[in-house]
Amino acid sequence: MAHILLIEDDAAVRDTFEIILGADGHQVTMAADGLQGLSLLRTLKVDLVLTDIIMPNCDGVEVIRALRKRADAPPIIAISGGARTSAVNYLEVAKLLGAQQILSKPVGAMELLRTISDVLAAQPVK
Amino acid sequence: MLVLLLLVWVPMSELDLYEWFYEVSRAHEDWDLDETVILLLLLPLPLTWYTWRRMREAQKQTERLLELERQLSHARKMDGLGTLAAGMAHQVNNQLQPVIGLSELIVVQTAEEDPRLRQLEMIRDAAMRARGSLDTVLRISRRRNEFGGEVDVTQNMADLVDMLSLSCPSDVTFLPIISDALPEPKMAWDDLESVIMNLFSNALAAIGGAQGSVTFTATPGQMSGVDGLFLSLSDTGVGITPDMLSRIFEPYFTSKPVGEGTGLGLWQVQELLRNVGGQISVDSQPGSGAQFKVWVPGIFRAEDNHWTKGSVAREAAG
Repeated sequence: MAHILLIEDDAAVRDTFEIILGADGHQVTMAADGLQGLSLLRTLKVDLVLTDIIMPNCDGVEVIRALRKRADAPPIIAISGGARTSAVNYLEVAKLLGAQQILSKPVGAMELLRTISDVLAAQPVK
Repeated sequence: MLVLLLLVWVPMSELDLYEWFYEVSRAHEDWDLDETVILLLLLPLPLTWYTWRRMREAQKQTERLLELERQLSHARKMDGLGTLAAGMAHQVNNQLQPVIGLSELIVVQTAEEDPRLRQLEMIRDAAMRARGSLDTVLRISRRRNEFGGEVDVTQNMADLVDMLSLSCPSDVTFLPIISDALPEPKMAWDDLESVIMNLFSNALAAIGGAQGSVTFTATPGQMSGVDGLFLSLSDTGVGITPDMLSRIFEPYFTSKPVGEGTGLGLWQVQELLRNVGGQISVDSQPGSGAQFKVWVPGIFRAEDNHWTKGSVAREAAG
Protein backbone atom coordinates (compact mmCIF):
# COMPACT_ATOMS: atom_id res chain seq x y z
CA MET A 1 0.00 0.00 0.00
CA ALA A 2 1.01 3.62 -0.11
CA HIS A 3 3.01 5.90 2.16
CA ILE A 4 0.91 8.96 2.88
CA LEU A 5 1.89 12.25 4.50
CA LEU A 6 -1.04 13.63 6.47
CA ILE A 7 -0.91 17.35 7.26
CA GLU A 8 -3.69 18.36 9.66
CA ASP A 9 -3.71 20.73 12.63
CA ASP A 10 -6.72 19.26 14.44
CA ALA A 11 -5.46 16.35 16.53
CA ALA A 12 -8.82 14.53 16.62
CA VAL A 13 -9.16 14.73 12.84
CA ARG A 14 -5.51 13.68 12.41
CA ASP A 15 -6.03 10.60 14.57
CA THR A 16 -9.27 9.78 12.75
CA PHE A 17 -7.59 9.88 9.36
CA GLU A 18 -4.66 7.84 10.67
CA ILE A 19 -7.05 5.11 11.82
CA ILE A 20 -8.99 5.11 8.55
CA LEU A 21 -5.87 5.09 6.37
CA GLY A 22 -4.25 2.48 8.61
CA ALA A 23 -7.33 0.27 8.28
CA ASP A 24 -6.75 0.18 4.53
CA GLY A 25 -3.09 -0.76 5.06
CA HIS A 26 -1.50 2.61 4.26
CA GLN A 27 1.58 3.80 6.05
CA VAL A 28 0.93 7.24 7.52
CA THR A 29 3.34 9.99 8.53
CA MET A 30 1.71 12.91 10.33
CA ALA A 31 2.45 16.63 10.47
CA ALA A 32 0.59 19.22 12.53
CA ASP A 33 0.94 22.12 10.10
CA GLY A 34 2.25 23.11 6.70
CA LEU A 35 5.73 24.05 7.91
CA GLN A 36 6.24 20.70 9.59
CA GLY A 37 4.84 18.93 6.56
CA LEU A 38 7.14 20.71 4.12
CA SER A 39 10.23 20.08 6.27
CA LEU A 40 9.34 16.39 6.49
CA LEU A 41 9.00 16.29 2.72
CA ARG A 42 12.59 17.45 2.26
CA THR A 43 13.86 14.07 3.38
CA LEU A 44 10.82 11.86 3.17
CA LYS A 45 9.59 10.22 0.00
CA VAL A 46 5.81 9.71 0.04
CA ASP A 47 3.30 8.46 -2.52
CA LEU A 48 0.60 10.97 -1.61
CA VAL A 49 0.02 14.10 0.47
CA LEU A 50 -3.29 14.58 2.23
CA THR A 51 -3.44 18.14 3.51
CA ASP A 52 -5.89 20.30 5.39
CA ILE A 53 -6.32 23.79 3.98
CA ILE A 54 -6.92 26.09 6.91
CA MET A 55 -4.08 25.72 9.39
CA PRO A 56 -1.83 28.00 11.45
CA ASN A 57 1.82 28.42 10.30
CA CYS A 58 1.67 27.89 6.55
CA ASP A 59 -1.67 26.61 5.38
CA GLY A 60 -2.53 23.96 2.85
CA VAL A 61 -2.60 26.39 -0.07
CA GLU A 62 1.06 27.24 0.60
CA VAL A 63 1.94 23.56 0.92
CA ILE A 64 0.41 22.87 -2.49
CA ARG A 65 2.14 25.87 -4.01
CA ALA A 66 5.53 24.81 -2.60
CA LEU A 67 5.06 21.19 -3.69
CA ARG A 68 4.01 22.07 -7.23
CA LYS A 69 7.39 23.71 -7.80
CA ARG A 70 9.11 20.36 -7.39
CA ALA A 71 9.45 18.07 -10.39
CA ASP A 72 8.89 14.88 -8.39
CA ALA A 73 5.96 16.23 -6.38
CA PRO A 74 3.65 13.55 -4.99
CA PRO A 75 -0.07 13.84 -5.81
CA ILE A 76 -2.06 15.99 -3.39
CA ILE A 77 -5.53 15.64 -1.93
CA ALA A 78 -6.74 18.82 -0.24
CA ILE A 79 -9.38 18.58 2.44
CA SER A 80 -11.20 21.35 4.23
CA GLY A 81 -14.04 21.96 6.62
CA GLY A 82 -15.21 25.17 5.05
CA ALA A 83 -14.23 28.71 4.37
CA ARG A 84 -12.00 30.85 6.52
CA THR A 85 -14.99 33.16 7.04
CA SER A 86 -14.47 34.69 3.65
CA ALA A 87 -15.96 34.63 0.21
CA VAL A 88 -13.07 32.55 -1.15
CA ASN A 89 -13.68 28.87 -1.58
CA TYR A 90 -10.31 27.48 -0.54
CA LEU A 91 -10.96 24.06 -1.98
CA GLU A 92 -11.46 25.57 -5.43
CA VAL A 93 -8.22 27.48 -4.99
CA ALA A 94 -6.46 24.24 -4.01
CA LYS A 95 -7.75 22.57 -7.16
CA LEU A 96 -6.63 25.47 -9.32
CA LEU A 97 -3.18 25.32 -7.76
CA GLY A 98 -2.83 21.68 -8.66
CA ALA A 99 -4.33 19.47 -5.98
CA GLN A 100 -5.44 16.27 -7.73
CA GLN A 101 -8.58 15.97 -5.63
CA ILE A 102 -10.47 18.01 -3.07
CA LEU A 103 -12.67 16.75 -0.25
CA SER A 104 -14.95 18.53 2.18
CA LYS A 105 -14.82 17.69 5.84
CA PRO A 106 -16.45 15.75 7.34
CA VAL A 107 -15.70 13.02 4.84
CA GLY A 108 -16.86 9.41 5.13
CA ALA A 109 -14.23 6.70 5.59
CA MET A 110 -15.15 4.95 2.34
CA GLU A 111 -15.16 8.17 0.31
CA LEU A 112 -11.72 9.07 1.66
CA LEU A 113 -10.23 5.65 0.88
CA ARG A 114 -11.84 5.55 -2.56
CA THR A 115 -10.51 9.01 -3.43
CA ILE A 116 -7.01 8.01 -2.30
CA SER A 117 -6.98 4.84 -4.36
CA ASP A 118 -8.35 6.71 -7.40
CA VAL A 119 -5.63 9.34 -7.17
CA LEU A 120 -2.92 6.71 -6.69
CA ALA A 121 -4.25 4.67 -9.59
CA ALA A 122 -4.14 7.73 -11.86
CA GLN A 123 -0.42 8.24 -11.20
CA PRO A 124 2.03 7.11 -13.88
CA VAL A 125 4.09 4.12 -12.75
CA LYS A 126 7.60 5.22 -11.82
CA MET B 1 -42.41 86.67 13.10
CA LEU B 2 -43.97 87.99 16.31
CA VAL B 3 -40.65 89.56 17.27
CA LEU B 4 -40.52 91.25 13.90
CA LEU B 5 -43.99 92.73 14.40
CA LEU B 6 -43.07 93.94 17.89
CA LEU B 7 -39.90 95.50 16.52
CA VAL B 8 -41.99 97.52 14.08
CA TRP B 9 -44.89 98.24 16.36
CA VAL B 10 -43.06 99.44 19.56
CA PRO B 11 -40.90 102.18 18.00
CA MET B 12 -43.78 103.30 15.81
CA SER B 13 -46.09 103.84 18.77
CA GLU B 14 -43.30 105.36 20.86
CA LEU B 15 -42.48 107.97 18.25
CA ASP B 16 -46.13 108.71 17.36
CA LEU B 17 -45.42 107.52 13.87
CA TYR B 18 -49.00 106.29 13.42
CA GLU B 19 -50.25 109.83 13.60
CA TRP B 20 -47.72 110.88 11.02
CA PHE B 21 -48.48 107.95 8.80
CA TYR B 22 -52.20 108.68 8.96
CA GLU B 23 -51.65 112.25 7.88
CA VAL B 24 -49.29 111.31 5.07
CA SER B 25 -51.69 108.65 3.75
CA ARG B 26 -54.65 111.08 3.86
CA ALA B 27 -52.67 113.77 2.13
CA HIS B 28 -51.51 111.44 -0.63
CA GLU B 29 -54.48 109.14 -1.28
CA ASP B 30 -53.28 108.51 -4.82
CA TRP B 31 -50.23 106.66 -3.42
CA ASP B 32 -52.42 103.72 -2.27
CA LEU B 33 -50.53 103.42 1.03
CA ASP B 34 -53.35 101.47 2.76
CA GLU B 35 -53.04 98.63 0.29
CA THR B 36 -49.29 98.55 0.80
CA VAL B 37 -49.75 98.28 4.58
CA ILE B 38 -52.26 95.45 4.23
CA LEU B 39 -49.90 93.65 1.89
CA LEU B 40 -47.05 94.02 4.38
CA LEU B 41 -49.26 92.77 7.20
CA LEU B 42 -50.20 89.69 5.14
CA LEU B 43 -46.58 88.87 4.33
CA PRO B 44 -46.06 86.65 7.43
CA LEU B 45 -48.73 84.23 6.20
CA PRO B 46 -46.89 82.77 3.19
CA LEU B 47 -43.68 82.89 5.20
CA THR B 48 -45.26 80.80 7.92
CA TRP B 49 -46.62 78.38 5.35
CA TYR B 50 -43.20 78.11 3.67
CA THR B 51 -41.43 77.55 6.99
CA TRP B 52 -43.90 74.87 7.95
CA ARG B 53 -43.40 73.10 4.61
CA ARG B 54 -39.62 73.15 4.98
CA MET B 55 -39.89 71.84 8.50
CA ARG B 56 -42.01 68.92 7.37
CA GLU B 57 -39.53 68.11 4.61
CA ALA B 58 -36.65 68.18 7.10
CA GLN B 59 -38.61 65.93 9.42
CA LYS B 60 -39.24 63.42 6.63
CA GLN B 61 -35.58 63.54 5.63
CA THR B 62 -34.55 62.79 9.20
CA GLU B 63 -36.96 59.89 9.37
CA ARG B 64 -35.61 58.54 6.10
CA LEU B 65 -32.05 58.81 7.36
CA LEU B 66 -32.97 57.06 10.57
CA GLU B 67 -34.62 54.28 8.57
CA LEU B 68 -31.52 53.92 6.37
CA GLU B 69 -29.32 53.84 9.43
CA ARG B 70 -31.52 51.15 10.93
CA GLN B 71 -31.33 49.12 7.72
CA LEU B 72 -27.57 49.53 7.60
CA SER B 73 -27.09 48.38 11.15
CA HIS B 74 -29.39 45.46 10.42
CA ALA B 75 -27.31 44.56 7.35
CA ARG B 76 -24.12 44.79 9.43
CA LYS B 77 -25.62 42.54 12.05
CA MET B 78 -26.54 40.03 9.33
CA ASP B 79 -23.04 40.19 7.83
CA GLY B 80 -21.55 39.64 11.25
CA LEU B 81 -23.77 36.66 11.82
CA GLY B 82 -22.85 35.26 8.40
CA THR B 83 -19.16 35.46 9.28
CA LEU B 84 -19.83 33.91 12.64
CA ALA B 85 -21.89 31.12 11.08
CA ALA B 86 -19.17 30.35 8.53
CA GLY B 87 -16.52 30.18 11.23
CA MET B 88 -18.69 27.97 13.35
CA ALA B 89 -19.58 25.69 10.45
CA HIS B 90 -15.88 25.17 9.75
CA GLN B 91 -15.23 24.26 13.36
CA VAL B 92 -18.20 21.92 13.65
CA ASN B 93 -17.28 20.22 10.36
CA ASN B 94 -13.91 19.39 11.91
CA GLN B 95 -15.61 18.14 15.05
CA LEU B 96 -17.91 15.93 13.00
CA GLN B 97 -15.01 14.33 11.14
CA PRO B 98 -14.21 11.65 13.77
CA VAL B 99 -17.92 10.85 14.19
CA ILE B 100 -18.58 10.38 10.49
CA GLY B 101 -15.21 8.89 9.54
CA LEU B 102 -14.97 6.38 12.36
CA SER B 103 -18.62 5.34 12.51
CA GLU B 104 -18.51 4.56 8.81
CA LEU B 105 -15.27 2.61 9.24
CA ILE B 106 -16.78 0.52 12.03
CA VAL B 107 -19.98 0.01 10.01
CA VAL B 108 -17.87 -1.61 7.27
CA GLN B 109 -15.99 -3.71 9.82
CA THR B 110 -19.13 -4.88 11.61
CA ALA B 111 -20.82 -8.13 10.66
CA GLU B 112 -24.24 -7.88 9.02
CA GLU B 113 -25.99 -9.82 11.81
CA ASP B 114 -24.48 -7.72 14.63
CA PRO B 115 -27.35 -5.82 16.35
CA ARG B 116 -25.04 -2.87 16.97
CA LEU B 117 -24.76 -2.26 13.24
CA ARG B 118 -28.10 -0.47 13.15
CA GLN B 119 -27.05 1.78 16.04
CA LEU B 120 -23.81 2.65 14.31
CA GLU B 121 -25.67 3.52 11.15
CA MET B 122 -27.94 5.78 13.17
CA ILE B 123 -24.91 7.64 14.55
CA ARG B 124 -23.43 8.00 11.09
CA ASP B 125 -26.70 9.15 9.50
CA ALA B 126 -27.34 11.73 12.23
CA ALA B 127 -23.87 13.16 11.73
CA MET B 128 -24.45 13.25 7.97
CA ARG B 129 -27.63 15.23 8.52
CA ALA B 130 -25.73 17.68 10.71
CA ARG B 131 -23.23 18.05 7.88
CA GLY B 132 -26.11 18.85 5.51
CA SER B 133 -27.35 21.64 7.78
CA LEU B 134 -23.87 23.12 7.99
CA ASP B 135 -23.51 23.00 4.21
CA THR B 136 -26.55 25.23 3.86
CA VAL B 137 -25.17 27.75 6.33
CA LEU B 138 -21.78 27.73 4.63
CA ARG B 139 -23.26 28.10 1.19
CA ILE B 140 -25.27 31.13 2.22
CA SER B 141 -22.48 32.82 4.13
CA ARG B 142 -20.13 32.37 1.20
CA ARG B 143 -22.61 34.26 -0.96
CA ARG B 144 -21.95 32.18 -3.96
CA ASN B 145 -24.26 32.75 -6.82
CA GLU B 146 -23.87 29.71 -8.92
CA PHE B 147 -26.22 30.94 -11.59
CA GLY B 148 -24.93 29.91 -14.97
CA GLY B 149 -25.84 27.56 -17.73
CA GLU B 150 -29.30 27.16 -19.13
CA VAL B 151 -32.05 25.82 -16.97
CA ASP B 152 -35.31 24.33 -18.20
CA VAL B 153 -37.53 26.45 -16.01
CA THR B 154 -40.79 24.87 -17.10
CA GLN B 155 -39.52 21.36 -16.40
CA ASN B 156 -37.84 22.29 -13.13
CA MET B 157 -40.93 24.11 -11.95
CA ALA B 158 -43.11 21.10 -12.85
CA ASP B 159 -40.77 18.80 -10.89
CA LEU B 160 -40.86 21.15 -7.93
CA VAL B 161 -44.66 21.30 -8.02
CA ASP B 162 -44.77 17.50 -8.09
CA MET B 163 -42.49 17.32 -5.09
CA LEU B 164 -44.57 19.87 -3.16
CA SER B 165 -47.80 18.03 -4.04
CA LEU B 166 -46.30 14.79 -2.75
CA SER B 167 -45.19 16.35 0.53
CA CYS B 168 -48.59 17.96 1.11
CA PRO B 169 -50.69 16.28 3.84
CA SER B 170 -54.10 15.02 2.70
CA ASP B 171 -55.96 17.67 4.75
CA VAL B 172 -54.26 20.44 2.85
CA THR B 173 -55.21 21.36 -0.71
CA PHE B 174 -52.23 22.43 -2.81
CA LEU B 175 -53.04 24.86 -5.60
CA PRO B 176 -50.15 25.57 -7.95
CA ILE B 177 -50.68 28.23 -10.62
CA ILE B 178 -47.60 28.27 -12.81
CA SER B 179 -47.23 30.41 -15.88
CA ASP B 180 -45.62 28.60 -18.81
CA ALA B 181 -43.71 31.69 -19.96
CA LEU B 182 -41.37 32.13 -17.02
CA PRO B 183 -37.97 33.72 -17.45
CA GLU B 184 -34.91 31.83 -16.27
CA PRO B 185 -34.13 32.93 -12.71
CA LYS B 186 -30.74 34.59 -12.21
CA MET B 187 -30.15 32.36 -9.25
CA ALA B 188 -28.90 28.82 -8.75
CA TRP B 189 -31.95 26.58 -9.16
CA ASP B 190 -31.14 24.75 -5.92
CA ASP B 191 -31.28 28.04 -4.07
CA LEU B 192 -34.58 29.04 -5.64
CA GLU B 193 -35.93 25.62 -4.77
CA SER B 194 -34.78 25.99 -1.19
CA VAL B 195 -36.53 29.40 -1.01
CA ILE B 196 -39.81 27.88 -2.18
CA MET B 197 -39.48 24.76 0.00
CA ASN B 198 -38.80 26.89 3.05
CA LEU B 199 -41.87 29.04 2.45
CA PHE B 200 -43.92 25.95 1.68
CA SER B 201 -42.95 24.16 4.88
CA ASN B 202 -43.73 27.33 6.86
CA ALA B 203 -47.14 27.45 5.19
CA LEU B 204 -47.81 23.84 6.20
CA ALA B 205 -46.65 24.58 9.75
CA ALA B 206 -49.03 27.57 9.90
CA ILE B 207 -51.93 25.32 8.94
CA GLY B 208 -50.65 22.91 11.56
CA GLY B 209 -52.51 19.71 10.74
CA ALA B 210 -55.86 21.43 10.30
CA GLN B 211 -57.77 21.62 7.02
CA GLY B 212 -56.58 24.32 4.70
CA SER B 213 -54.96 25.21 1.45
CA VAL B 214 -51.64 26.45 0.12
CA THR B 215 -51.53 28.39 -3.12
CA PHE B 216 -48.28 28.67 -5.04
CA THR B 217 -48.12 30.99 -8.01
CA ALA B 218 -45.26 31.74 -10.37
CA THR B 219 -45.68 34.42 -13.01
CA PRO B 220 -43.30 36.52 -15.09
CA GLY B 221 -43.12 40.18 -14.11
CA GLN B 222 -40.94 43.22 -14.15
CA MET B 223 -39.60 45.11 -11.17
CA SER B 224 -38.29 48.62 -11.97
CA GLY B 225 -37.86 47.63 -15.60
CA VAL B 226 -36.00 44.38 -14.89
CA ASP B 227 -37.44 41.05 -16.06
CA GLY B 228 -38.02 38.50 -13.37
CA LEU B 229 -40.32 36.02 -11.68
CA PHE B 230 -43.01 36.80 -9.18
CA LEU B 231 -43.58 33.91 -6.82
CA SER B 232 -46.16 33.82 -4.10
CA LEU B 233 -47.03 31.31 -1.44
CA SER B 234 -50.19 31.89 0.52
CA ASP B 235 -51.75 29.72 3.16
CA THR B 236 -54.95 29.62 5.18
CA GLY B 237 -53.07 29.09 8.43
CA VAL B 238 -52.98 30.91 11.74
CA GLY B 239 -51.36 34.05 10.32
CA ILE B 240 -48.68 36.22 11.88
CA THR B 241 -49.20 38.84 14.58
CA PRO B 242 -47.96 42.37 13.74
CA ASP B 243 -45.17 42.30 16.34
CA MET B 244 -43.89 39.00 14.96
CA LEU B 245 -44.20 40.23 11.39
CA SER B 246 -41.35 42.69 11.89
CA ARG B 247 -39.03 40.00 13.24
CA ILE B 248 -39.64 36.90 11.13
CA PHE B 249 -36.63 37.53 8.88
CA GLU B 250 -34.25 37.83 11.82
CA PRO B 251 -31.90 34.90 12.37
CA TYR B 252 -32.69 32.66 15.30
CA PHE B 253 -36.20 34.06 15.57
CA THR B 254 -38.74 31.26 15.67
CA SER B 255 -42.31 30.79 16.78
CA LYS B 256 -41.89 27.05 16.86
CA PRO B 257 -41.25 25.19 20.13
CA VAL B 258 -37.64 24.65 21.21
CA GLY B 259 -36.06 21.90 19.14
CA GLU B 260 -38.48 22.23 16.23
CA GLY B 261 -37.42 25.36 14.41
CA THR B 262 -33.92 26.71 14.05
CA GLY B 263 -35.17 30.21 13.34
CA LEU B 264 -32.89 30.27 10.33
CA GLY B 265 -35.30 29.38 7.52
CA LEU B 266 -36.63 32.78 6.57
CA TRP B 267 -33.29 34.41 7.27
CA GLN B 268 -31.70 32.01 4.79
CA VAL B 269 -34.46 32.72 2.29
CA GLN B 270 -33.89 36.44 2.61
CA GLU B 271 -30.11 36.10 2.32
CA LEU B 272 -30.37 33.89 -0.76
CA LEU B 273 -32.65 36.42 -2.42
CA ARG B 274 -30.60 39.41 -1.37
CA ASN B 275 -27.48 37.90 -2.92
CA VAL B 276 -29.11 37.89 -6.36
CA GLY B 277 -30.94 41.19 -6.05
CA GLY B 278 -34.30 39.59 -5.34
CA GLN B 279 -36.93 40.66 -2.85
CA ILE B 280 -39.33 39.16 -0.38
CA SER B 281 -42.32 40.64 1.39
CA VAL B 282 -45.05 39.29 3.57
CA ASP B 283 -48.72 40.10 4.15
CA SER B 284 -50.55 38.59 7.04
CA GLN B 285 -53.42 39.05 9.45
CA PRO B 286 -53.68 36.90 12.57
CA GLY B 287 -56.32 34.26 11.89
CA SER B 288 -56.51 34.70 8.15
CA GLY B 289 -53.34 33.19 6.77
CA ALA B 290 -50.19 34.67 5.33
CA GLN B 291 -48.93 35.49 1.86
CA PHE B 292 -45.22 35.61 1.05
CA LYS B 293 -44.34 37.37 -2.18
CA VAL B 294 -40.96 36.87 -3.79
CA TRP B 295 -39.40 38.55 -6.78
CA VAL B 296 -36.32 37.06 -8.43
CA PRO B 297 -34.55 38.73 -11.36
CA GLY B 298 -34.52 36.58 -14.48
CA ILE B 299 -33.76 36.57 -18.16
CA PHE B 300 -35.69 35.45 -21.18
CA ARG B 301 -33.67 33.32 -23.53
CA ALA B 302 -33.91 34.38 -27.17
CA GLU B 303 -36.28 31.62 -28.29
CA ASP B 304 -39.15 32.39 -25.95
CA ASN B 305 -40.65 35.74 -26.64
CA HIS B 306 -42.91 36.38 -23.71
CA TRP B 307 -44.71 39.29 -25.28
CA THR B 308 -46.31 37.17 -27.96
CA LYS B 309 -46.59 33.96 -26.02
CA GLY B 310 -49.66 33.97 -23.86
CA SER B 311 -49.19 32.84 -20.32
CA VAL B 312 -51.41 29.90 -19.72
CA ALA B 313 -51.89 29.00 -16.12
CA ARG B 314 -51.49 25.40 -15.16
CA GLU B 315 -53.69 24.38 -12.32
CA ALA B 316 -53.70 21.21 -10.35
CA ALA B 317 -54.99 20.20 -6.99
CA GLY B 318 -53.30 17.66 -4.81
